Parts: sequence; C-alpha cells; structure tokens
Amino acid sequence: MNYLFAGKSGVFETIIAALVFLDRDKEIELELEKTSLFGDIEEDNKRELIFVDYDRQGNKVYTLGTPNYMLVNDISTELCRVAGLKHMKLQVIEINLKGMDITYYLSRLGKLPLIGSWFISLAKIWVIYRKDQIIKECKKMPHPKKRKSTPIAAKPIK
Amino acid sequence: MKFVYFDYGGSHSSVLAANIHAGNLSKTKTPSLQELMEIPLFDKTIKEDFGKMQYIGVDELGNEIYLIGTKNSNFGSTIHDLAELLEVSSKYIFIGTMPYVNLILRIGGFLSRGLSKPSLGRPLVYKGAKAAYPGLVSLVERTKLQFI
Repeated sequence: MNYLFAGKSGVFETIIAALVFLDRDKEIELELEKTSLFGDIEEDNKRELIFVDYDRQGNKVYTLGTPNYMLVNDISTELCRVAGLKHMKLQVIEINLKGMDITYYLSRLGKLPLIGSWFISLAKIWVIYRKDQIIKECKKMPHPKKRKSTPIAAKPIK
Repeated sequence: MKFVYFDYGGSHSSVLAANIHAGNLSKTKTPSLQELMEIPLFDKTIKEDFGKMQYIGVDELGNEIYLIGTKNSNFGSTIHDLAELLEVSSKYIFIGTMPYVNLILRIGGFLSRGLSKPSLGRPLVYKGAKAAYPGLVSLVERTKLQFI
C-alpha cells in the first residue's frame, strides 16, 4: 500500500502531514530543512506526485498539490474500477486544515517575478508558525494504516 | 486499451472528442445544435459527475472510450502519475482536451453548467463547440495514429 497526502499545495502542510505519518515530527523544523521539498513551489507547480520517503514497511509516501484534491480519491478509485482491479494499492488522505487557503494564495503569489520568493518565505513562516497546530490536527486524523482500504464500487462498466 | 478523454467538467470538449473517437459523431461535418444535444452527456453533467469515468463506446478496433471531468484544467501529469502508482497505466491512454477549449465555450460552459443557466449558456456552448470541433477531430486523429 502506498500513501498519498493530497491538498491544495503539495509542499507545505501536506509535507508536515506526511512527516507526522512517518513519525518524523519530533523535530519538525529540522526535518523540514532536511527534506528540501518544503516550500519548493517549482516541484508543486509540476502537478506531479511528490515522493517524500518510504515508511518502515517500505511503502512509498507521496504528497500532491492540486485544486481538486478532494476528487483524487474518487478518480483513483475509478481508474482501478474500470481497469478491473479489486483493491486499490493506494490510500489517499485529503489534507484540509484551517489556514491552508492562506498558504495556498501566498504560494501562488510566489510565482510573481522578483518579489515571488518573498511570498514563499512568508508562506513557510506561516506554516512553521502553525506547526504545532498542524501536527495536532494531523495526529487527530484517523491513521491511514488503520483505515479500511477503499472498496472499488461494484458498478457495471458499461 | 482504454482511451480516456479528460477536461475540467466532462461536459463539452471531452464529450465531443470521445464521441468522435467512438464514431458517434462525424469527422467531416460539424454537428448541429440538435445533434449535439442528443448526445447523452453533452452539456448535461451535474456536480456529482466530477471524477466519474463515463463510458462512451468502443472504436473500430474494440478499444473502450471513456471520459472524465477532473475539476482541474491542468490534470494531465497528475492522472498519468496516479495511474502509474496504481499500476494500471498500461491499460490507459489519457488525452487532455482543455487546450481546445476556447473562451466562448468556457464562458458558455460556465453559464450552463456552473451557474445552471442553460438558456443563457447553450447558444455560446454551441458556438464555442463549433469553433473547437475541427481541432478536436484532429486531436482524435493524431491520438489514433500515435497509439493504434
């Protein structure tokens, strides 16, 4: 089973959520510095899955930033259903936390020439300022490994 | 092989392209408004259809044709990556139709589907669809040449 943490942005709160899942939240600021993905909006703008690390069982952990993050699980389920798979080898965890919209808009402003990097720094500061709250919220979420695997709807293809 | 046409709403450009591919629409003649409205999904999808794969038919070689509305104009890389991670990428060909959506179609689609005002949006949808049609035909042709 692989894990995908999906949010509006894939390089801010979702990275923290992935690190919480990987039990690497003790010294979160240090961990964020180590990942190099934190605040990397170039990576985010590719709209590709961002590999974070392997968990202890060797499962891959990814993040994804996309405005339609609430649909990612549905789309994945549909891809499996139509392909005839009975079980989905991916657990999608939608990350929707208070304050994420501010981070998202700051990161969008990060695309501006010359002053963009200032907004990225601001977005990072905004996330780090809320790190305890983000970690607390992420820990409150049902642990992905304890969730039931997503059943594929038994609808006819045609 | 399953061909999946995708766009933002799964209502207009993807419906046209998928139906052209499946042979339900002519490649040489732009359909009339009535012909378009007779297509089951054209300008008729609702919010709940986002993210659902809709079966359209089969092409002349028996490949299945689907469409999906992703609620995102830039979902190409993501859907490829998801299929890769789910280990189903060998079964799918994904084709984005958003580059063929012109401003008129976009506005018409927003009025008709987004604001639920089809009486206002549909004339624009038809005008936009007519303008986009030749491009969508050549997209389907290119796709077939490339993958079949």
